[in-house]
Order: sequence, then C-alpha cells, then structure tokens
Amino acid sequence: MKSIRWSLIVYFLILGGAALLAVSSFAYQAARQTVQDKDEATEQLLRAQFEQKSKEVRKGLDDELLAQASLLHAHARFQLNPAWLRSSVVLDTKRWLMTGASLSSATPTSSMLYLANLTTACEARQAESVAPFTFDEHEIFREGEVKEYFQIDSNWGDTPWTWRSRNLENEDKKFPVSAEVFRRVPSIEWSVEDRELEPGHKVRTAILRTPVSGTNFVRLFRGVRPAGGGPRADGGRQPNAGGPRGDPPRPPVFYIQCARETTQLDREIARLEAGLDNDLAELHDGSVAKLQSIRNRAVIIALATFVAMVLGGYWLIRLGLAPLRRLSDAVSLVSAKDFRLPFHEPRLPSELRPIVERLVQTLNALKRAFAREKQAAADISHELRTPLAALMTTTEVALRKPRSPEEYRELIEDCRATGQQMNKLVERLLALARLDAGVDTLRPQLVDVAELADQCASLVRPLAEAHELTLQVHRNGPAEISADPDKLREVVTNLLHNAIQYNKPHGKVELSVARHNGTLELEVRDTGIGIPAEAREHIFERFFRADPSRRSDNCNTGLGLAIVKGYVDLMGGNIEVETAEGQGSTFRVQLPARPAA
Amino acid sequence: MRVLLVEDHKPLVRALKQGLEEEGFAVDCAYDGEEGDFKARTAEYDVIILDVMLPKEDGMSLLTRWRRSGLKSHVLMLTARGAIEDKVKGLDLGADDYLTKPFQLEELLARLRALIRRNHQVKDPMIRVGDLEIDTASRSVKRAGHAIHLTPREYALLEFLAYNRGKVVSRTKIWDHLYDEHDENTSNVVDVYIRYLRNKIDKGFDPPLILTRWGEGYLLRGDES
Repeated sequence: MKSIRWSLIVYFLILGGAALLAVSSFAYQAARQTVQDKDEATEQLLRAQFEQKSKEVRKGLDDELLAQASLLHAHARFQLNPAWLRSSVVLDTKRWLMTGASLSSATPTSSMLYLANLTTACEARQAESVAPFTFDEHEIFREGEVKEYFQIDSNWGDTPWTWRSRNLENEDKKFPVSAEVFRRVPSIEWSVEDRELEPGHKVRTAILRTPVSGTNFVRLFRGVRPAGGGPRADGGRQPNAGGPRGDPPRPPVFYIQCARETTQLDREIARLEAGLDNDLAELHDGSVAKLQSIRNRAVIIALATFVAMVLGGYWLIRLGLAPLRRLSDAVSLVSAKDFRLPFHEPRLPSELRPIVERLVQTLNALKRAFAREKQAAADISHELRTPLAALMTTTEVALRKPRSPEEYRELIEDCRATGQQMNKLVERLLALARLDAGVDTLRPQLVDVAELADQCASLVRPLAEAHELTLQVHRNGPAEISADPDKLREVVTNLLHNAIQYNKPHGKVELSVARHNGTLELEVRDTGIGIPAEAREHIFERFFRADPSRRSDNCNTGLGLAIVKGYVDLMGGNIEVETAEGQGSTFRVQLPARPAA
Repeated sequence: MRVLLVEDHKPLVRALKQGLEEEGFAVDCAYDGEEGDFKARTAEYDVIILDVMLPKEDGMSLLTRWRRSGLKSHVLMLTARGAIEDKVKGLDLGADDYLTKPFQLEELLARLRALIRRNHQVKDPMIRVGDLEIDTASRSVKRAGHAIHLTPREYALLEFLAYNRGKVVSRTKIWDHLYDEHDENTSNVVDVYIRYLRNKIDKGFDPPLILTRWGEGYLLRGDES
C-alpha cells in the first residue's frame, strides 16, 4: 500500500539529493577553479621570481666580468706610458700632418713651436722600445674552480699585439680577434657576450673596446692645416686615404676580453631551476591536497545535510500530514449512532477544508436520512398498529357477550372495513418497498392513454358522484405511447382519488390527456382546498399529510403521492403541481412519448 | 364512571366506545387534540384515554398543558408507539398509565378500574359496606351472601355511591359521572335508577344502605358505626 508520507519523503529526498548534488558539485567546481587560478598566479609568480633571480645571477656575473675588464683596462692604461703614447701619437700626427703638405702660414707660430719641440722630444723617446704590457693576474684573478680567461688585444705600437692570461697561454688558446676591432672608437664600447673559445667551449665574455688614450689628437692640431690636397693614390693608413689628407691617424685601441666559464653560473641557474621545480611541485601537490580536502569536506557536509534532510524531512512531513492523520482518526470515531465528526480544528488547512465540509455535510445528510427512516418506521408501525387495535377491540367486543345476528354482522363489517384499510396500507408499503429495492420492472406496451383515462374515470365516477362532484375527461384523439399500463392506471386513479377527497362540495374534477411534440401530458385538476405553500415541497414525501386532521376518515395513508412520484420517475417522466391554498390543485404528469409505431 | 376518549381512528373509537359502554362506562369522544382539550376542560372525567398521534395537537403536548394548568383527571395514554423512550416520556409528562396498541380490551378495562380506585384512594378492589360486598374487578355484587344481578348502569351507580360512601352525592354529580354528553338529562333519570337500585340492594335486606338526603342528594351508608 502506498503511503502519502513515504512517497512525499522519497520525492523530497530525491529532489533534495539532486539539489545537494548540483549545489555541491557547483561549489566544488568553483573552489577548484579558484584554487587553479591561485595556483596559476603563484606559478607565474614563482617563474617570474626565478627569471628575476637568474637574471640577477647572470647580471651579477656580467657585472663582475665588466668590473674585471675595467680594472684590466685601467691597468693597461696605467702601464702603457701615456707620455710615450703621446709622443708616438704626436709623431704620427705630425707625420700625417706634414705629408704632402707644408705648414701653412696661417698656423700660429706658438703651436708650431710647440709642435717642433714636441717632435724632438718624441723622436728621442721613440728610440726606446715598446715595453710589453705586463699584468699580474692575481689582481683580478680569483681562485676558484671556475676558469677565467683574460685577453687584451691592441694595435698600439707598430704591430697589433695580444696579451693573454696565463691559462690561455698554457692551453695555447686564443680568442679570435679580427682587425675590425681596431677601428676607431670615440669612447668606451663595451658588451657582454657568450663567446666560444673553441667550438663547444662556451665562455661568458665581457668585451671592452676603448681608445688607448682619451686625448683627441686631431683636435690638438686644429689650427694646423695640412698642405696639399686631393686624394693620394694609395689607401690604408696612409694620409689621403679618405678626405683631403686621407684618414687622420687613428689612436690605438684596446680590445679587452674578460671571460669566465659559466659552469658555476650554470650550476646556480640549475639550482634555481631545481628550486623552481621543487616549488612548483610543492604548489601542485599542495593544491591537489587542498582540492582533496575540499572534496572530502564537501562530501561530508553533503552527507550530513542529506541525513539532516532525511530526519528533518521525515519529521516535517509527519508534522504536515498530522492534520490528515487527525482527520482520519476522527473519521474512524464516527459512530453509526451519532453521525458526528469529532474533528475540531480552528485553523483547517485549505486542502482539508473541502473534505471536512463535505464529510460533515454527508454525515448530516445521513443522519437526516436515518432519522427519516426511523421516523418512517415509526410511522409505518403506527399506521399498522392502529387499525390492528381497532380490529382486535372490535372482535373482543363482539365476543364479550352473546349478541344478535345484526349486531354481529355490524361488528364483522367493521372488521372488514378495517381489514381493507390495512390491506391498502400494506399494498402501498409493499409498492414503495419494491420501488426502493429497485425490483420494480416496467412492462411497457403500446397504451392508448386517452382510453386508459376514460377507464379510470368511469371507475371513480361513483365515488365522485357520492361526493357530489362532477368528473370530466378531456381528450383529443388517441394518444398512444409505450408505457406500463398497470402503473399508469395506478397513477391516474390515485390522482383522481385525491382530487375527489380534497374537493369542496359541488366541485369539479377534470382529467385531460394531451400530446405535445415529444411528451404526453396528463392533467388532473380539482377545485378543492389546495395545498399551502409550505406543504407543497413535501407532498411527494412518504407519510406526509398536508392536513393531518383528515387522516383516519378514510384510507389516507400519506403514501399515495409518494407512490405516484415513484412510478412516474420509473417511467422516465416528470410530475409537478400547481396549487394555491383554497383554490384547488392541478397535478401535471409528463411522460416521454416515443413516436408511435 | 365517565371516560373521555381522545382518538382519531374512527373504527377503533366505535369499537372501544361500545366495549366501554357495555361495561357501564359513560364515554365521550374527541377526534382531535383541539376537541379533546375543549372537552377535558369543560367536563369532569374519571379517566381520560388519550392517544398520542392526534391531528391538530398531539397527546404529549396536550398532557403537558393540562398538567401545567392543574387538571387532576387521570390520564391513560394510548398509542402505537411502544418504544421505551415514548413510554418514559409520557409517564414523566404526567400520564398515570400507558398502553400500547394493539391491546387487549380486558387489560384496558382493568387499568381503568385501577385508576378509578386511585381516584377514591381505595386499594381494595373489594368494597364492603355492612353485609354488602362489591367486587369492583368482576363487577359483581353480593348482599348477605346472595349474589345480586345489576345492569351495567345500575352497577355503575352503586359503584359510584360506594366509592363515595358516607358522603352525599348530588344528583348532578351522579349525572356527570354516569352519563355521557349525548344522554338527555331529564332530572328524574337518576331518581329512577336509584329506585331500581334500591329494589335490588335494599329490598329484603336490612339495614337500608341507599339513603336520601332531601335537597342534597343520595348517599350510601358509610362505616361510621
């Protein structure tokens, strides 16, 4: 047996479960998304940090190399005698100036003099040989596992020369340098690059390209205009290679290279990378763990909520259905004696209200019906007992003492009359009982209602005349319908009897039969005492007598009209009454008239 | 004894009236509550036989009104409704007895007799005055051991005098109690019946029991001595 409560609970749990599932998976998704986003951000941060750090490390190395190179450069400049340099340059410059030209007269004399003096001094110095560049590596060289290489290339002097650090010499390696590097450089040029000492041997190199001296010798001789003009035939570092005198002599250039193996750097970078990987791995693990814990928590919460829903739902539904249960209990308490529903609830739920109202209505109707039944039973017993008492008393009186035959006859006739009355009552009760039980069957035949009306009228005519009433029958032609003749006869006779009984002296009774489109109409009209308005709706009820004082005159059982109505209804017809107190009544019976064959 | 029969079923009324009259009762009839009420208030009855289901006003309501207005006559309720509730209701409303239809005539008569005894506060159905014995149950009379036969009317008169023995009963009172409304009242009917009675009761017996009080009425000698 299905139970509303359990169905409700199941549906509620399904719904709730689905909702929980949706909400928790959504929440979990959101959480996961958040965690993932955070992870991404953190990863980016970590990577950025790594980049930063490795850049820093690299830069550190580069800066160190540059510093070394600068130091080297300073030493080189220091070592190489600036005065010597100047003489060499002066001589070169003079030579260049003097080539193919003679000093113009525009040259200020002081400069010329200076120049002449200088030339002399320089020529003297020139005799000395160029001291080679020496440098103690340990000034800048650090002990360590990382190999450092230094190399200075310069074109100062007659031929370009190279100074190498010891390890370079030992290993007989050399940084390749092209003549290009000695091109004119106005000031310091520097860069840090990866270079290959040998194929496959990468070193990080700081490169410095500087002029040996900062002096701009050409400017020194600004006012000196060389003689001659026009280009010279030979190129190279010869005057008139380009311009009026060719290229001015270029100051010599230092080309310094400080290199270091990158192993340590690489290690450092690798370490940082490892650190990064580690962090990333940690991050990943951490977030996995976090997600796991979130998921677990979500599952636990969902489960707990579900359990709470089960219990709470069960309790709530029980509570909600409680009025129903109370109603059901109240209904089971309704007794056949009482017809009262012991259900008093000041605030009925709206779903129950119609049920309760209907139930109470039905119970009241039942109560009334039972009361009517009881009343009817009482009425019947009374109706039968009274004539019975009369019968008994009459016979007892008759037998009390010896009587004359006439007396006996009279008494016996009284008995007969009473017996007849009882018989009539019994017949009527039986007719009603049959109608009630539904065992009455119609035996329809083709009946000429007008003919039947005539017959009934002639049967009651003596009675009418005895009451000094006139009886008329109105009919226009035959009116054949399919009906049960016995019952129809009963109906007509009954109505006629009533019309006679309830009539005024010298009154009239009219019986008319008419046929309208699909119905047959039977009317019994009387000029009698009529029926008061309040009685009108009850006259077809059993044992109802509009005027109780007429009860025992004759055989007025109060059942006649009830039977008439029962038969008319059975035949599928309709009966109504038009009446006014004191002005007579008209009973109209309408029967369906199937088209006559 | 005078009885009012309030019942609407005419055959029953006819039969009962005949039966009661043959027993010596004077019977008045009323066919509905209104008539019954009128008659009950205008004449003095020893017993009122009241049906419950009456047109115009039912018996229970009549009874209630009678008792409230102080009507002292005994009421025997007669009805087809035999349910306990109805009996109890009737008795509680002031009926003195209750009989359901159909009933045996004998039972009705016995109950009437009992009610009449109650009227006169007599418990013994046997009335003894001197050597006169009146058996009110069997309606038989003996004087000095000799059975005396009386007609119903004569018996009724004797019984009435016997119930009122020692007291003077006026002619009017005798009339009221022994004759129904339809009987012609000729003043010497009572005298005539007294004479009939004396012939049968006192003649040949001593002492005379039926005495005359001139200007007042008659009486049956009581037990004063």
